[in-house]
Amino acid sequence: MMGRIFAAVFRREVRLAWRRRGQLLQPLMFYALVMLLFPLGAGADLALLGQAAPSLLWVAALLAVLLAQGPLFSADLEEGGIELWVTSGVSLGWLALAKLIAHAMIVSLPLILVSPVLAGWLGVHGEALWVLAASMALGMPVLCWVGALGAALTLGLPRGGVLLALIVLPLYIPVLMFGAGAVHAAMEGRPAGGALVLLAGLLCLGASLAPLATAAALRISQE
Amino acid sequence: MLEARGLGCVRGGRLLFENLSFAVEAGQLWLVRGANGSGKTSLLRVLAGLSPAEEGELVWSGEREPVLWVGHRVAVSAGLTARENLEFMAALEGGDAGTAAAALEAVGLGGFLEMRAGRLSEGQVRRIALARLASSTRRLWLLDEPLTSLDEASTRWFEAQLLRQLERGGAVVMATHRELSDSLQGWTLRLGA
Repeated sequence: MMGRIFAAVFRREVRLAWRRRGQLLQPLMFYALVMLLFPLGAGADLALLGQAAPSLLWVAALLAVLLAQGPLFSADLEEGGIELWVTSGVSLGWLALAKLIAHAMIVSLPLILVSPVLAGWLGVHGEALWVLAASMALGMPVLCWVGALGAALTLGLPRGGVLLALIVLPLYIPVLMFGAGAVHAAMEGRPAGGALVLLAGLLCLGASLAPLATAAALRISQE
Repeated sequence: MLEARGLGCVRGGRLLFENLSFAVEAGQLWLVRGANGSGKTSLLRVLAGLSPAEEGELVWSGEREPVLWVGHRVAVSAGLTARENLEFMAALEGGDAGTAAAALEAVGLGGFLEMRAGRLSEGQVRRIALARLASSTRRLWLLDEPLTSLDEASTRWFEAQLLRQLERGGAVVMATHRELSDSLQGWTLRLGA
């Protein structure tokens, strides 16, 4: 029964995302453009580019994720979907978990997939590419879930976007530090495992807390 | 089934109603009436558990059970087809999407089942949401202006669903400005009087 509901929410989200795929392209375009334009602006200093690459990749990916958060619940609010969730009698935390997992997949997967290509463009090679992909696979869902919580908290507020960024960005900092740190370490030949394990810890923390907090925020949005 | 004791509601610093007490029993139809802004929607939202009441309490006889809620916003997703919407609602509420789809056919919407809800008219979208009345097993229905933008055939279909719900021992509380057919006798709750 719960599995069926989970699958129904998941399928609905993926279907809607596919039908609004233009909206998904926006963060991806932003990410790719920043990465393509930065080397042109920075000039031909390859050493500088290599130094900046890990943090640059992570900062741009983080802002791209932030771009995708604003409209997360707005259609559900306007169409009354959240009312259906609250009155359905199904645990709101469970529904939020399904939506958040779908959301994390839909937003992160394209960004994670293009990252190694863009990193290659910035001169990141070898093992560091794998560490980059791993750090993003662990860190991006956390960014998506924190962002979703921010979106739920600012739901229905005028100019909620600015407030969303203010709430969410401080919470993004640990993910950014460990993510970029792991790639830096790998590029310099130091072990990156520690930072990756910390990211995995954040992922577990996010997976357990974000659905409950998002559910509570959605319920408050209805009052 | 559900008893309201001394309900009071304040919205935007304005008192909408206070000391409102009534008991909804099995087989009863309650019509909430009143001018625009008199608190009909607020009352229904309190009953549905969507918003808290400032005063008073709601007492269920027995365990609190989920209700069927059709609000002003009908929870039909514009990006999904009529059938996909029905299937999603059935998964959440435990109804049967097949029966609901048949209900759409009964009111002449069969041809629109595979069409995105965003391309349908307001009345058609509302009928998608109401189609789940045909298969709902929930004992209490809370409907906020369900007849808005419905045509005559759909209104008659809707009244038949109400009758079925009352006959099987369910209850309905609905806000409406329209008159129902004589076969439906209900209690009236007049707000703002």
